[in-house]
This record gives sequence, C-alpha cells and structure tokens, in this order.
Amino acid sequence: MTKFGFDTIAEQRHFLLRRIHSLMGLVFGAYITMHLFVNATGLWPKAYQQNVDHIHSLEPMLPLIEIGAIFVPMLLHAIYGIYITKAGVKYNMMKYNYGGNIRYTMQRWAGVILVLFVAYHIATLHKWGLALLGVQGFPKFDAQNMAYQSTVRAVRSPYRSQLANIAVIFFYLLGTWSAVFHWANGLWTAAIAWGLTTTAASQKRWGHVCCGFGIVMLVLGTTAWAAFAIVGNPDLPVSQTTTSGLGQAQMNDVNGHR
Amino acid sequence: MTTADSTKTPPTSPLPPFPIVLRIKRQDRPDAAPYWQTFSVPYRPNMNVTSVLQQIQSNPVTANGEKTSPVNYDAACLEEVCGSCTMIINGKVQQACSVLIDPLRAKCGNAPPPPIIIEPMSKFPVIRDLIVDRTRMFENLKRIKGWLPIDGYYHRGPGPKVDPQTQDELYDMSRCMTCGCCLEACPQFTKANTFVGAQIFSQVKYFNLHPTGQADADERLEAIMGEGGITDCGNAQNCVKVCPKDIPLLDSIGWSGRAATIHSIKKFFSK
Repeated sequence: MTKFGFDTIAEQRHFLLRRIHSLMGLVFGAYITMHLFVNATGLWPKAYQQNVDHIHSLEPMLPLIEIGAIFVPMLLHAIYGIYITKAGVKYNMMKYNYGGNIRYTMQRWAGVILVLFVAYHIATLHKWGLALLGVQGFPKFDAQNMAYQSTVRAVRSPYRSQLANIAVIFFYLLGTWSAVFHWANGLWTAAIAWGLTTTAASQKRWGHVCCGFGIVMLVLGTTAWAAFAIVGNPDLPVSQTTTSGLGQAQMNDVNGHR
Repeated sequence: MTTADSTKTPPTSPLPPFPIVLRIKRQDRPDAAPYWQTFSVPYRPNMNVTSVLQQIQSNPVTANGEKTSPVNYDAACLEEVCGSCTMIINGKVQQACSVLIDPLRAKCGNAPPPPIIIEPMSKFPVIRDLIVDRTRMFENLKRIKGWLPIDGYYHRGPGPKVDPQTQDELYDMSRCMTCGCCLEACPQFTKANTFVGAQIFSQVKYFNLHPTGQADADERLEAIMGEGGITDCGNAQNCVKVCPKDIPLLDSIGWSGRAATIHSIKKFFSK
C-alpha cells in the first residue's frame, strides 16, 4: 500500500490535477450552454446566421478564445477523465441500484460517448478537423452566409448512404443528450467536490436546481437538434438566411461550392 | 390473551417449516480458488444468519450429506456494534447478525424460500471462507491519526467543553464500527487503488470537529488531500445507503471537500 498525504509534490499535483479536471469541466460546460443556446436558434435560419456572424466577428481573436476557453479545457477534462475512470472504477450499478449510483455510472458512460461524439463533431465540422489533413468527403461547416445550410447538411444528409445519414442523425441526438446529462450532473457533483454543498440536504436542494437546469438544456439541445436534423432544409436559398441579401453571382458561387 | 392462555396453547408458527438453505462462497486459503457449497439447516424461529452459521459449524455437512470443514466466519458482538460479521448476503453488504431469517422468509409466503446467498466481502483479501482482512481500513485510520492527542507526562486537567450541537454532530460519526460496508459498495474503492473511502472522511471530520482533536486538524486533512483522498470520491453515494449505522457520510464528504478547498487556498497563499 502506498503512502498518501499532501506533503509531497506528487500528492499536491494529484490534488491540483483533480481540481483542474473539475474546473475545466465547468469551463467547457459553460461553453456548451452557449453552444446549445446559439444552435437552438437554428429554428430561425436568419437569426442563426446572425449569431454565427457575431461569433466570427471575434476574429482575429477567435482562435485564441477557441483554444483557451474550449479546446484546452475540453482536452484536459476528457483525457484526464478517461484516465481516472480507467485507472480505478468497479461499476456495481446492478448490485446497488440506487439513484446516485445510476447517475455515477451514466456520468462515466456519457463521458465516453461524448469523447467519441465530440471527436466526430470536430473532425468533420471544424476547420481544424479532418479538413486540415486534406481529407475530403465530409460535410464542411461554411460560416460565411451558409452557416444554416451547411449545418443542416452536416447533421441531416452528410453522406450518399441514407443509412449512414440516419446513423449520424441519431448520433447527434445521443451526443447532445449525453452532453446535457454530463453537464447537469457534473454541475451537481462539482458542488460536492469543491465543498459548496456540504450536507445531504443541500446536495438534494442543489440537485433540484441542477435538474431544472438540465431540463432547460435538454429542451435547448433537442430543439437545436430538431432544427437541423428534422425540420432543416439544406437547400434554403441564401437570400433567406442573410440580412444583406446576396447577388445572383454570389448565389451561384455558394451553390457551386456544394 | 393472558400469559396463562398462551402457555396452554402454544402459538402455531405462521411460517412453513422449510429448512433454511444457504449457498456459501468458500475459500480454503488466501491464495486458493473460491468454490460454492450449499447447506441446509433445520428451521427454528427468530434466527439470524450468524446463528444459522453456528448451526453449520456444529454440524458441517452439506445439503448433499457430504461431510466438510466448518464454514469460517467472524462474529463478536452479535448486536451490530462491532462490524466483524460484515459479509455479502443476497448481493448486499450487511452484518450477518442483523439479517433475520423470518422477515426474509415472510416475503415468500407459503412457497419454499430461495437459498440465502452468502459471500465474503469482495474489496478485501479473503483469509478463509467469510473472513476477510480489513487491515487497509485500520492502516488508513492510523494515517489520519484517528484519535485524540491526550497523552502527556502530567495530568492536563479536564478537556475543553463541547457544545451540545457539536456533541450531536460528533455522536452520529462516533457510531462508525469500521465494518467496511461503505467501502464494499463504493465503485471507486477497489483492491487495485489506494482510495480511502467514506469511512475515513467521516473520521477526519469527527476528530477535526472535536476541540481536542483540532491540534492535529491540518495533518488529518492533508492525509486525505493526496492520491486516494477526497478528490477521488466519485459521488456515487452508495456509502450512505449501505451504512448500517446511518452515519451522515454525505455530510462528511461535503465537509471534507470544503475543508480541502480552503486548506489548499490557504496553503497556496500563506505557507
């Protein structure tokens, strides 16, 4: 049995890593909240395009914000999360089927699903994904005037195979729901980890708050998914998604891009 | 009905006298492979699992009539205050002395009751049959200095007064009997890692809240801030569900988290 304590650098690093892991989860969760809000506006293609324009107006600082507030927290949280889950967990949900244990197990499974889903999501839709490697055949996200149409295409009909498209549609729903659960439940456990909720009663109260927050996130996430995967129209004329309105020449250019 | 009446007409048991069938996971040596044996014990009212194990010990014959070695088990207080008879009974970790046979059978009505499945705890090394080695728990108690520092060369006089509210809080945690239920049910506590589990967090809070125990408060806290400590809790919260003494373990875990946060900030800025 190894010694434990807080007197060595290794032990202090362990504590710091765990707390950073928790903090990074909160940072990434905050981003997810914003992401779901923005994408729920996919119900209104013009508003969605405007929101995308707003985000892209952060250029040239956008890559820095993306790296610092999204990619680094996400990677730290995911890599360390997978490591600690693999390093020592003995699931016993079937034996001890209490609510807390079911949430504990689901939290870890949702985390694994999220790693796969977010990897696919970024690889196919982000400019730093497979596009960077020159891999073709994936639906690219086109922020410039085609944000709505390109998102619909990516979620609803990215491939020639209809079966693959249906799989992608459900993968997006599974990924969104996993994110919502992992974030709401993570908010609840983080409050215990940091010592915000120090009694069973306060943990229960905060649990209700997190549950309410989770329901809001679920509605937003499912709305966003439905906006693109169910009611989305990949061939919506660009004139209906931009406020400025484009000339015919630009339209042809954009359509030709497809 | 008067006492005299009841002696005249002995009350007939509402339970059918099916024998008590036990399926026990046995292991001859710490390094031997486990195996299962079934035992059948004549029914008597008001038995618990320990008294059934006593019957098997006095007549170690399996249900098939084969003579075998007596089943080894731990038991000391027989009244759920020592924790030594902790084992897995019908899939749930609990004390053999507290599992009564009659309520188990009452659920089956007139049908023959299913065998009672008995296994040793799975998170501790098996010494023999149902006896496990819980040294890990006691080693952890030593590391957090699970005691009050009152030794000295001279009489130090009466200790500081403890206010009634603190006494109430301390009493809940003082009931811990180091049985290990919280650890057996914890998905974060495995044989492969060094996680200390709810038992230790509760004891750290217990001794740190005590006015005399506060002398070692920082040391105790730091003992649960490294690997295997409070940061490794996964909040499955099985511990509090299986605790036979109803110790508010969630409060202890939440308290430990807050104490660790404050201590780390203090240490970062002022030490």
